[in-house]
Amino acid sequence: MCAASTPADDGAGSAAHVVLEGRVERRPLGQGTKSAHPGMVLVLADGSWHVLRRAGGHAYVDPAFEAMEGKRVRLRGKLRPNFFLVEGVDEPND
Amino acid sequence: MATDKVVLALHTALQAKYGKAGLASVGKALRALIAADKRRGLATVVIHLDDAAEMAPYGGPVPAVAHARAVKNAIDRLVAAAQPHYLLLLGGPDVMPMVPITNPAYSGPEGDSDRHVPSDLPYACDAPYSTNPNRFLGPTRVVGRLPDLIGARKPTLLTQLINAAARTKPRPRSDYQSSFGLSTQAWAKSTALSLTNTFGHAKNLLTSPPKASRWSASQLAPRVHFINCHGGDTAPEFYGQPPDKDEFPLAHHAKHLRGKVSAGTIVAAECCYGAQLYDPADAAGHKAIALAYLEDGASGVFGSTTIAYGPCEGNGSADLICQFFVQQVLGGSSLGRAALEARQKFAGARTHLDPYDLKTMMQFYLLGDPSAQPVEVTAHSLTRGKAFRKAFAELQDRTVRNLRRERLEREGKYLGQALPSLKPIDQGPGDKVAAALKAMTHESGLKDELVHLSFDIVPPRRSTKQGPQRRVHVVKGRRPVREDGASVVRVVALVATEEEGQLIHVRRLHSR
Repeated sequence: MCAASTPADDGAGSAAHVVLEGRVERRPLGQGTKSAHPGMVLVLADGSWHVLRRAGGHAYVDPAFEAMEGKRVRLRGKLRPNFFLVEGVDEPND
Repeated sequence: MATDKVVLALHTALQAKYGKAGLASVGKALRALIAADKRRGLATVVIHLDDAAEMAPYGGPVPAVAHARAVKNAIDRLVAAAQPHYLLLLGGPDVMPMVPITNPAYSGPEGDSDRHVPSDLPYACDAPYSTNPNRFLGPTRVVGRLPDLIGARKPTLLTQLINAAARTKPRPRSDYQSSFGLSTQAWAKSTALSLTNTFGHAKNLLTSPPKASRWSASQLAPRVHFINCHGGDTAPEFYGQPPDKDEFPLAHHAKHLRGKVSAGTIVAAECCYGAQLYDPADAAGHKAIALAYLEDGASGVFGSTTIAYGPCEGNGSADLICQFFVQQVLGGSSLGRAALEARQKFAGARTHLDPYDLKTMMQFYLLGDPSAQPVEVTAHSLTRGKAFRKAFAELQDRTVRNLRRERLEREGKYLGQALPSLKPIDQGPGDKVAAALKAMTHESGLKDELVHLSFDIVPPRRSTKQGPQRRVHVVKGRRPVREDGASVVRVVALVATEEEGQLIHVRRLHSR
């Protein structure tokens, strides 16, 4: 979830592919709701961040992103209203 | 002739998605549904809201590209003129929009991140179009949605679901005697209470962990599925959780339902996103679990479009609205009437709805034909007598149904007029309440970065009684604990009601 993102009126997300670079961090998500859980997010240079998801991956605990924790990465994918659907890693920077 | 049921469709959207040939096959399925409804004593018509001729009696068509506002206004005109008993919305949100209601419980990206709640509730209300949730506290209409597959190019699933709706028939109450109850282990007590309230016992409750996600055909065979698990945005699966651990094992998956769901099954899913519809391309080709249920023979799914709520102990919010729905279905209500009755019962049980209850009202909706009646009503012995049959030989089902609709309309209108609304305010609680909340915050172990939300409880406009000034205050915060040597953060939300400076009610919601 990017702090600045706004969902479309019908809940549909943009289909445009984007590349985002940032640091992968673990954050508490859904706090105070039925589905509170720690999740992996990509924190961008401006401080905004996106929840990371992979098509077919676990919605809360995806080992593919847990393995990236603390690393700077460039990720390819699609922005959805509540998450970044990652389709590929362009190049790990460290 | 009076119309009992209206199937609401958007011609342009369906044709753009499926082409002329696809539209023709949808039309063929709908004609079969109309014929089946006729045999059941229901007069059903299909109305394309964007068709000038069909909408001429109802104030004209909506634009070719119709947004929720135009659809809502058209439905209001149609209902006012035709007074149908059932409204069936045809297709998913890409061909029949949902109303994007402002989420009163939005608390930022780390909390409730839903800025909007896609909702069908406004279509069930007489109140005019709005995105303000306070406008839709008094539902009066029986509404359901028969979904299709977002992103599909062939209407195979839609025609299958329409044909299934045509075949559906009531079954004896005994066919719905047992349940498939599934819960996270952490919420087992709450789920057991819901099942006990509904079935009188919870002996069939399954929890995850320790149980795995690949349920057998015999485990899934019961015709009531009551599920209280974690759900994810655009996820075809539900997750379990052990108590006080951040572990989320797979509890249920759409792909494991194939060939295992009994015809006529009804599903109440309390889970976050439990009835969300999405493009399977975003989930490695897997359909939403609600759709997979319908595809495999379920008659209806009652669930949420977004992040849902429930208390850590006892029942509340999602627990209640889901069990009310199931209880009404078991009592012989049609699916659509059960959804309406559940909403009314949920709203009517409170003096006011706090932000979490308000969201619950907006987010839960019915996927399925609203006129489908899963459980047959056992007739009183009086009705089997010759004199009774002779006396009521001329009476149509519609006449009897009219009586029920009058009652439901009266109840909904009353709720809409009587329930106060919530208005966000910047002002926090008074000194006395602030001190009490501060102490409870401390006792609850809440630490840094507390989130404070406050709302005025605004009496309904028509209220002649000058009531006391009430406010709702929410304090959300984290409670760090150590479990099994690991540091875990739990979140607690305190929801307090203040009246004239006095604290009169508090409830505590925990993250789970």
